Amino acid sequence: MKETKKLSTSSWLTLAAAVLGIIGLVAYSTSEVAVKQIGIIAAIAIVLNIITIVVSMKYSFGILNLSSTVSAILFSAAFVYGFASQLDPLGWAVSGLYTWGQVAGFLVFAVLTFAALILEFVVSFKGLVK
Amino acid sequence: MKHLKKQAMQGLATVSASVLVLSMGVETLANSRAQFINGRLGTTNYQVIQTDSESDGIYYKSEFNSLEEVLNAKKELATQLSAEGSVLLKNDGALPVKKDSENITLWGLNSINPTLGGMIGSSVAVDDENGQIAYSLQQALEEKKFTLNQTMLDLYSSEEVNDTYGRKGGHSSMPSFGMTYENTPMYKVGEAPASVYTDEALKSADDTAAVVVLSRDSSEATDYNPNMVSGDESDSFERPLALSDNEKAMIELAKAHSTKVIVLINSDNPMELGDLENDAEIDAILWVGEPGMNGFLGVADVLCGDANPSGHLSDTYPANTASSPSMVNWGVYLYTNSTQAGKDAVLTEANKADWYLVESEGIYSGYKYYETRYEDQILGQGNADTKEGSSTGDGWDYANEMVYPFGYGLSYTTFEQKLKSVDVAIGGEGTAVVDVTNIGDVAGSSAVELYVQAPYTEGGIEKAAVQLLDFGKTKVLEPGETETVTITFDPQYMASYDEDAVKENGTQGAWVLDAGDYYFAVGNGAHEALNNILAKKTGSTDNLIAINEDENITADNAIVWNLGEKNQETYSVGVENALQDADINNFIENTVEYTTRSDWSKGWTPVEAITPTEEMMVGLTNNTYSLTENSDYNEVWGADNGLQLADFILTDENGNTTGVLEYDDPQWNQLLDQVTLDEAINFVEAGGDDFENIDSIGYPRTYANDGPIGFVRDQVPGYFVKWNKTNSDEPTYVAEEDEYSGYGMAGMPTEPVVAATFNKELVQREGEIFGEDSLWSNIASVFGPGLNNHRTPYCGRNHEYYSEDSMLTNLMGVAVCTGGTSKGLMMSPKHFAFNNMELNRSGLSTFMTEQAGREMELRGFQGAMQKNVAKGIMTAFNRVGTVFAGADEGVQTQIARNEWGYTGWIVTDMINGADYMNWKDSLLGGGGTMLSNPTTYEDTEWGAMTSDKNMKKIKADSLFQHKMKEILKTYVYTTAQSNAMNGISAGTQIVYVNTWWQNLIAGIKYAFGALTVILVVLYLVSLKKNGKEKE
Repeated sequence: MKETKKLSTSSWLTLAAAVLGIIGLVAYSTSEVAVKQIGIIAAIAIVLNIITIVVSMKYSFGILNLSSTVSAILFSAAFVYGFASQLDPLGWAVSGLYTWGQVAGFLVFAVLTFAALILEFVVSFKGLVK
Repeated sequence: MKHLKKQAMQGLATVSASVLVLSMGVETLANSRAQFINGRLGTTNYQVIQTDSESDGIYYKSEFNSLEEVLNAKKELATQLSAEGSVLLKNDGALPVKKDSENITLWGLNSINPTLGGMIGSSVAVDDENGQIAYSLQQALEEKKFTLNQTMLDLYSSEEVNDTYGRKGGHSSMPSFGMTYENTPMYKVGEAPASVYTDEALKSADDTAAVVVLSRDSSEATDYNPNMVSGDESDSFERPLALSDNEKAMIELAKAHSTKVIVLINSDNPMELGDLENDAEIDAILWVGEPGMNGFLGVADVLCGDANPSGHLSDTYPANTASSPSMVNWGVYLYTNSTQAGKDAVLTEANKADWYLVESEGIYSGYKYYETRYEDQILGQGNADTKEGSSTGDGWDYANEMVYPFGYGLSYTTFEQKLKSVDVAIGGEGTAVVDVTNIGDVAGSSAVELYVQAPYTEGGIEKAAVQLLDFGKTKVLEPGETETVTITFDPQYMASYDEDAVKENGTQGAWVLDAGDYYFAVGNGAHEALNNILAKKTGSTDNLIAINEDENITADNAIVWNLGEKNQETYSVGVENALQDADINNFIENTVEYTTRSDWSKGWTPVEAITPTEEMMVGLTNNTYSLTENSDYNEVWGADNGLQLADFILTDENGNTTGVLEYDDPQWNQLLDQVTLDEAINFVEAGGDDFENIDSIGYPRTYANDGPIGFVRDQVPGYFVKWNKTNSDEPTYVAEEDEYSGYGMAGMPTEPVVAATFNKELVQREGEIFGEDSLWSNIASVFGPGLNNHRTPYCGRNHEYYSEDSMLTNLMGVAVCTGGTSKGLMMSPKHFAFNNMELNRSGLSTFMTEQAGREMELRGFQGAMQKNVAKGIMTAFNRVGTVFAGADEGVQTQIARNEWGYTGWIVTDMINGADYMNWKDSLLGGGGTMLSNPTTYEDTEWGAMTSDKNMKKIKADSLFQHKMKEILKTYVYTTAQSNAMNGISAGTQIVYVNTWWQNLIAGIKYAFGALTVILVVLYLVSLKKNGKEKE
């Protein structure tokens, strides 16, 4: 049985991206118009990050490095396509017909998803395992 | 070092791939809002190019190869519509009849004089010389091989009977185009007295099945009135919509001489059927409405069981047709300064403004009155059981007031409906899922009616206890078969209008969804649905009134959906009060006491003798707007931009149209700048049946005619009439020599029958067939459907409107307009708006609350206009408040254009009072063209548009010119989408091109796509190298 390794910086960043993703997802679920598919895409990225961390604690498969690339693509998709259902509500918020509180859930999601995306970029440059 | 290089490669690939995904997303988002972005950046997606295209210019093609095929398809569809639109109200096993073994006696003189359609715009006329048939009941039954009692038919047809008592041609209601100062005094039912029946005739009926026909006809420009007396001395009645004494006597004879009695109700105006419902010797009642040219064929199919009835009532059938609050102010009411006021007369004949109608019932007409008061009776609130409005003189009791509720209808089989789920997304869609099972013995289809009850608090916004939200229909289900019906509905129609609400942007008036429980229910009609809601709400069925024996009350068919917070913003974008001038109380305080469910004893006092205020006189004397000298706009006329209207049509590779340039595209303005001022004035002043050609832009002469059941023959006597030999190369050209060229086109059932089908697909097909008639007659627009409400059972024009319910009207309007538009027919609903009484309709001041105006009448128009499947709108003759409907800015500009985003054209009805229906007020009030001829305005107070005096004024009034340009744009934009353009091919072509910003996004996408591929390859190469080095 292999010993559990200490978490590397990249693992911590991957974990941070997952946590940001989870918080974003919770915020998104409170949005007035939430699209299930967007949530699923973000959730896959989060789950992938968590699995990667757990596996990397025991194994050093090179393929684990690709996890950050896939997660980055998923977070990118969730971020940009999340706007598709929010164009009207955001427009209404700008025009004053909606309060910003009504789109806050989505905005939190967008900011945190984007932050998670940046973290994935950093991880993919640093690498998770050697 | 190599590891770092490899990681750098992966990092770059990750960033590149992510930017690729982001740019793809941005491209999708940006393209979905391209019109908005183009508007801000001043860019366009369309470019005009010169082409050598050999397009035939046929943008809309027929699905048929000959006119005969069209006529056959029309007859078949009309038959089906009528079969599905017939409503079985009672059946003790008498139906269907066995035509092989049962002989039929037609009873009632109206069995040979049935009414097929309403007079004028929905009249039925045929080319009988060339063999076209408008099927009477007798002809239809004979064609379907029923065996009829000829002796009785001979008796009815005899001179001494039919000439004396008959209503020949199916009509005794006659239109009145003049000014009328008393209610129409008489109505002739057209039924013969019992004394005409000979022993021979009575004996001939023994051992036959009786099919009794009770009929009431209808006509525009006249109404029924509860105080009418019989126009036939041998007959009498309590009210014209109650059974007459001759009818009652005839029914008694039928009962005595028949094996069974089946009653057909041939009327679009609800009749009083309580006695028949309660009479055990009446075995069956089938409502067939006014079925049109071919509809009795469908009725015959129902009678013999070839078709299983699946229709549901499009109106309420109360015990007393005059018992609702909407009847309180029905009839002739004159202003105190009318032309009839002697020395006090101020209003003139030219003003056409003597009369008014106060719609004091608010939102409580039709089932929304009866069912709402019923809920309050059950819950013991709002003084529901007071005597006011009671038909018996005792305390009001629903059981005494109702015979057949709205939406009710039976079948030859039995269906079980189970409401499984309801989901609502405010701002999105709602869905209801219903399982329908045929638990009877024969195949049939079932309509699923979805109702909603919004939370009501006493003193809050007035709300009906139940309202239709949407509906669906199953296919024909075999016995034991189940179908899951999913109804998709628009939650905006759950909202109520609150004229006092102030929105976050500070404007007043909003569509409000109150916080609380919303009850969704299905049921066989509004009453059963409400009973299901009440069972859910109260947890008991004990005190509920089942009005029909088959009623199945169950709380399981009601689902509660809760809205946590009040929402008055989502459905109020751009919404502001626009009908405050239609509320008489805003001119003169406390003039009318409106019906309110907080106290049902209120609102029963007629509003007599209104004296107009100075403010009201502005509208009543047609002084709403004036031409002024101003230079706010700088409209260009007669420019040479080298464009033609056909250039703006987008086509696919087969030459079929795929649309036109978007409404906001700046190139429309360049096209319109080519129009000369003279052309514009001529177009506006003489719009209507023919839209004038505008040569400077290649706008073709375009034809438009009545009406809601198809092009009427008194306006267009045949398919060939609007064709010209120069069009003979078009595939749908009909020459006068064609065998069917003179056939009448108005072949569909009247609208209440169509509504009773509760079948949107079938009604959309009706629109497509209208479109085929359009292609084969070269008439690109039809003035139909009629989308006004049946406010009362007494309106003479109910045959031309679908229902008392605005949602049923709304959804039918969308369906038929969608069908017609798909063939390039400009469907043009009418009469916008508030044509709620026909007597003295020209110039009638119509007053109401803003909530009632929007929820009860305008909602009927809203669907088709909001979706822009209505391409034109015909305005009403009446006034909205005191301003002519065609000049009312609130309805035409604020509600239609600003709130609904309607882009189609607007035309007046025929000018019947040129001073009040004048071009000046219409244009400046957001209207459109005038349905007039060049001489119409010559002798009016304002004169013709083309007079030297007015030409000078128009040239100095830039605002007026701007309004003309706006009108022209609606016509040009809409006509380009129509089959009026068939045969006109362009020397130039509009092609779709990407804008610079779209190219930029696409460039980024492709660049990062390529970069990603390169980086992935490099990364894989480095991985491979790494692997080899490790080895």
